[in-house]
Amino acid sequence: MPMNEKSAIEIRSLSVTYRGGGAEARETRAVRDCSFSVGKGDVVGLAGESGCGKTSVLMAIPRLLPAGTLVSGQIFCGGEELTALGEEELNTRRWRRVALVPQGAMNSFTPHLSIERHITEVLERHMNMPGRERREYAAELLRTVGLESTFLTRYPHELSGGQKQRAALAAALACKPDFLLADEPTTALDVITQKEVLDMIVSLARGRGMGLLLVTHDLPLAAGICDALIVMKDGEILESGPSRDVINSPKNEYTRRLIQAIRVMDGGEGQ
Amino acid sequence: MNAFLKRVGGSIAVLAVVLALNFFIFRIMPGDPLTGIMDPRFSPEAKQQLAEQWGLDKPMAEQFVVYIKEMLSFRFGLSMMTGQPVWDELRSRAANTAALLFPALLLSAALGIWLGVKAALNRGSKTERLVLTSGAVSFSFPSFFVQLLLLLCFAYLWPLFPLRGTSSVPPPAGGVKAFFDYLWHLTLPLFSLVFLSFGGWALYVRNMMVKALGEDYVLMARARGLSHRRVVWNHAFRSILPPVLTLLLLALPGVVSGAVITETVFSLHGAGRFLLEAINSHDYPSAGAAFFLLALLTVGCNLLADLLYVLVDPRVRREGAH
Repeated sequence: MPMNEKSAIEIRSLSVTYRGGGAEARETRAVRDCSFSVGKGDVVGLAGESGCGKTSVLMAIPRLLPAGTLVSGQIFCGGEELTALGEEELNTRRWRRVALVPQGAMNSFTPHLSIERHITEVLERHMNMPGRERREYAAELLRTVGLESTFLTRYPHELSGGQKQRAALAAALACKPDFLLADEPTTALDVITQKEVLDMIVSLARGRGMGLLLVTHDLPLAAGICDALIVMKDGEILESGPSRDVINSPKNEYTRRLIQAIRVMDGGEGQ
Repeated sequence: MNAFLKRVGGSIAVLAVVLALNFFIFRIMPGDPLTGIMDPRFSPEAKQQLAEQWGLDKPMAEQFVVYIKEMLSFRFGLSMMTGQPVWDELRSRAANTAALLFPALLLSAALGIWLGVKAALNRGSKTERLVLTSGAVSFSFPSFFVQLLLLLCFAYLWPLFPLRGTSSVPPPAGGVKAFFDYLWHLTLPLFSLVFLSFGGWALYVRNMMVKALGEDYVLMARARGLSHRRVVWNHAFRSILPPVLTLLLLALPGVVSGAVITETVFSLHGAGRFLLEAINSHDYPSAGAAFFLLALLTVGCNLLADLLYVLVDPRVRREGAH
């Protein structure tokens, strides 16, 4: 069955099983039969405790899981089935169809390459853009995320955490992807910068009609900015729906306990 | 810049110590140079005359001053073994040493790096096991053993290559024939050096690459849809390039010192063998000059490695900006 035209991404019956090395060859099923879709311009939060499988779902989309990992199910994006593509074909779709804003951009930039090179090498690879245009476009992207064009010549170690995360967002927007994955993009940032960066990611994704999947363990934070929420536990989707419904009238006991625990931690029980 | 100037100052201090040790070590070694170069039946007067000719009759302090002046002005005087200028002796041999050692260093580094990268990319595969095993074998065998074994197999039992020297006797007529004859003579020593050195490179680069390939920025380079070649070489390997280049430069003096064994086993007319002969015959000017040049090479390579590190690693290059 083809994907819904209004969807930026559609995931059907996704399962991920990690295979351990050694003689025992232990298998760990990290994701079980997950299905969901994200509409164009929609922001969906994927929440759950650590180890629930949310990062596995995210990394399975551009097929970046460790070698040997078993993945089954179907993933549709930009009108085609990514899971049906060979590695070489899929590689040409990465960043054009699906781009990623990583968890803590601290180590996501190659240390010896300038910010300009990080952006222009994807333009060279995917957009076939001439050299001078690439530089101008990279400067424009930096301005979009609130960084001056002088940051082009800087190296990753010369940027603060917030600046790196903004630069990572600029790089992710470079090839105008259909879908943006954000893996806890504000981890290790201070509270004010967290809000700034998150608001920027969300508004840029909405403004450009991209689907955005925001992976987070912070349910109230996700509820504040996402159109819909998906709650995962032990590799399975427990609950999904509009953010307000999930937060105000959770159907699942685990979701209820999760929300309550966060409210207690925030000192806001009963609010 | 200040740090680099400090390194230059330190290097000069090291050279000064090497210069002084060069002078005293040879003179406190048992034996003396005159016994080696004169007939035992010569009279004591003749021995005294020779000592005067070489300046060995002067007080040690005076000899030291003359020695320092000669070394610093790069006028190394005459070889006690051959009576020829030390520079001429070194020059005639250095070409053979360089023709053997530079290709050996580059080939072994290139082969080791390539195998190390292949092994890191294919973890748990037969390729990795083969690289690890061959690397360990290459790394652990003593050079003279491998070289004698190669001579026994490929020059004596199965005479594909010559047993000794850098040219046939008589030398073949014609430039091209002489050139190929030269290459033929250097093949076995070159192969032995590459075999003995590639393992260290392969193991080192494999370990560094395994770590680099697991870095988040390599995963992100893959996520950006860059070609496999670009991810491996421009992102992962390029990140380990500074230590690899440093190692390459630091290996150079070691390889030159290692030439002593190789040139002796294969009877090559090279600077390494000359150094050994100079030590054995207490040829102070030759041994002093050879060790001084070796120390210069070591210190120069160290400084060059520091400079190169700054050039290839922006984190070091731009340190001053913060």
